[in-house]
Amino acid sequence: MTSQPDGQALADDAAPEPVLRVHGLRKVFQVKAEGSRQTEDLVAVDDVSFQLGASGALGIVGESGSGKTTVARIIAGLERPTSGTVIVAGAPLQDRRLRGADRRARGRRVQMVFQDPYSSLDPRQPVGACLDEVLRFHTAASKARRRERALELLHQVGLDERHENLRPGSLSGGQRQRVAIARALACDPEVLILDEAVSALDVSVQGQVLNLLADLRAQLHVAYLFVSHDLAVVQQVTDETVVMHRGRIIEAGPTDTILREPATDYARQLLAAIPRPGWQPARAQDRRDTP
Amino acid sequence: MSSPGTARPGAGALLEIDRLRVQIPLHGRLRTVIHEATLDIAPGEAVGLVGESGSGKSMTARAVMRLLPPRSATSGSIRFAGQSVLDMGRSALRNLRADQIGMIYQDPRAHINPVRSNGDFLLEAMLAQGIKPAAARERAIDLLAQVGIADGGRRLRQYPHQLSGGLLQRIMIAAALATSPRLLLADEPTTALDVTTQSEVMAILAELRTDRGLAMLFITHDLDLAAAVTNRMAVMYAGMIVEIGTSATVHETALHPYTIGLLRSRPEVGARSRIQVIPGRPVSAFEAGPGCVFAARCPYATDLCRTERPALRPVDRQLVACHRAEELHGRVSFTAEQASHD
Repeated sequence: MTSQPDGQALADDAAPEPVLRVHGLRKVFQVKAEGSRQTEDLVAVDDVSFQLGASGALGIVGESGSGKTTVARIIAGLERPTSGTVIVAGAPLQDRRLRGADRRARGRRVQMVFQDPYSSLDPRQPVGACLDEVLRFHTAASKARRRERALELLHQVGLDERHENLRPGSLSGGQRQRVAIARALACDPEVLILDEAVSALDVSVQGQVLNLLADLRAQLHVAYLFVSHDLAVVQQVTDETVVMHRGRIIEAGPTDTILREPATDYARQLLAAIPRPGWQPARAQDRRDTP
Repeated sequence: MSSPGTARPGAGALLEIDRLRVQIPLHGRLRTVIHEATLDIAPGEAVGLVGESGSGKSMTARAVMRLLPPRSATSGSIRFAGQSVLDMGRSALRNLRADQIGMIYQDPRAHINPVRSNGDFLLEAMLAQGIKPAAARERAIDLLAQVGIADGGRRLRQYPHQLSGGLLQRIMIAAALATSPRLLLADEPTTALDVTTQSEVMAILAELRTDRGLAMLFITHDLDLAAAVTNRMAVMYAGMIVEIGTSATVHETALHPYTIGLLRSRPEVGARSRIQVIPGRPVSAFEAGPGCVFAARCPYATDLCRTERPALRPVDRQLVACHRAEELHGRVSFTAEQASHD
């Protein structure tokens, strides 16, 4: 498939109904204007459309301020879009008529893993209780069944019984991120959003978690929406990628193609900026950083 | 910047760290953070210090500046331009920190006072040196131009929160260079920046270093970045330097199993394959056993490795602290299977 700068349909026509369909997403924040009391509009996300097939993996790549995290937060339901729609498994995400159990059922479909496992876990809550809370909220399972499921989840992410009663303070960064992944997987979501989920980990631990994510995707058939600034990491986890720049999708297509033959100057710049031996850091644009 | 393969310059090191050992107090007890670090930097040379969290790389830089917590215990020696840093009195130390060595940190926002203007921050060291305010201001604007900030006058009036991370990091670089130091300690200066901004900041640093003949200790967790921007590099793990050599040699033909594992842990752009991983998690210096600090995670560890700590010794073209370096040459690999515990 060729890349489509306007970010339209990514999946083949023949593919089954996508599990996630994002259309015309736009988010405008009101920010204080410099040197005055008035506010001005900051367009964080502008006309973003893409779709994610069942058990597919889509990367959102971009630098800080590109809007990639805002897109992820809208899809996770943590932010309301100014306009545009998010459809998860055929049903719109933003539906204010939903109440109670229906609302919870919808929330279950999309789960998120955050960047920093030091702030995304409750420091006072033992690992087992953290998983149990999610299961209690989203399922009607008995206490014994919930514990069984919690242990199963721990094994799936490479932890075990010994970690069940530990608090996050006794866990390493990698272990915490494994707990965050287990918590997100607890109620079988259809879409798992990973927002810079391996960026804060030490290099040797990052490799382990990337392998874990590959294994889980093969086992569980959950779809990944993988948000990252790191192209090498995105390549490891995703099949398709969209490149965002200043709130818009400027390039989209298979991850391998984007990494091998980027169609836009911006994607080429991103690739050229990855350090490697013999690499010459470029002082290309002195104006780019100037607000 | 000269190519990473350049042989290291001969005698007359600017900074010599010899068998440095550091313990810092924690909960009333001294805890080892550096077991042994021996490293020198020639004038104008860029040396990388690469390691993961807890390896002691930042502590090494802080020891050089004598910025360790109170009641820390330090042994070994650190000499700057022939003078012992550990024996310096107050005024010599003040001169060292103010004029001889500049330091750049990872997060400029945490190291620049948010309620003072950028100008206050940038001019402080120059005013303390006795330079007149007008001259200092002029010099600051000139420095900002050198780091690629054109409208220096306006930037000096602004406050840190009005600047992006990349711009603020350049202000920090300008401040570190304000007093024309001979050595720059750069502690993960680009880790918080986007890749394209990182590229620019590294280019600026390279340019300034060439112009001024400035030496640099470049601390990073990124082996590829260190290989690209330094002449030589040292790899640190759990408070020990485990391998050191020219950057090209260490990157291409690493000999220590930890260095090899670290290199394999990073996915390579353009080649998707399962990642070979080092089992377990990085440990801190005080957690390491009596033997090789890497023994607990090393698939090749023997009884000797677990009981006797190997010293840095020459093997091939580099220095390596591994009992089995010759024997394992070219044979080290790590499993790509799911390691269960980190």
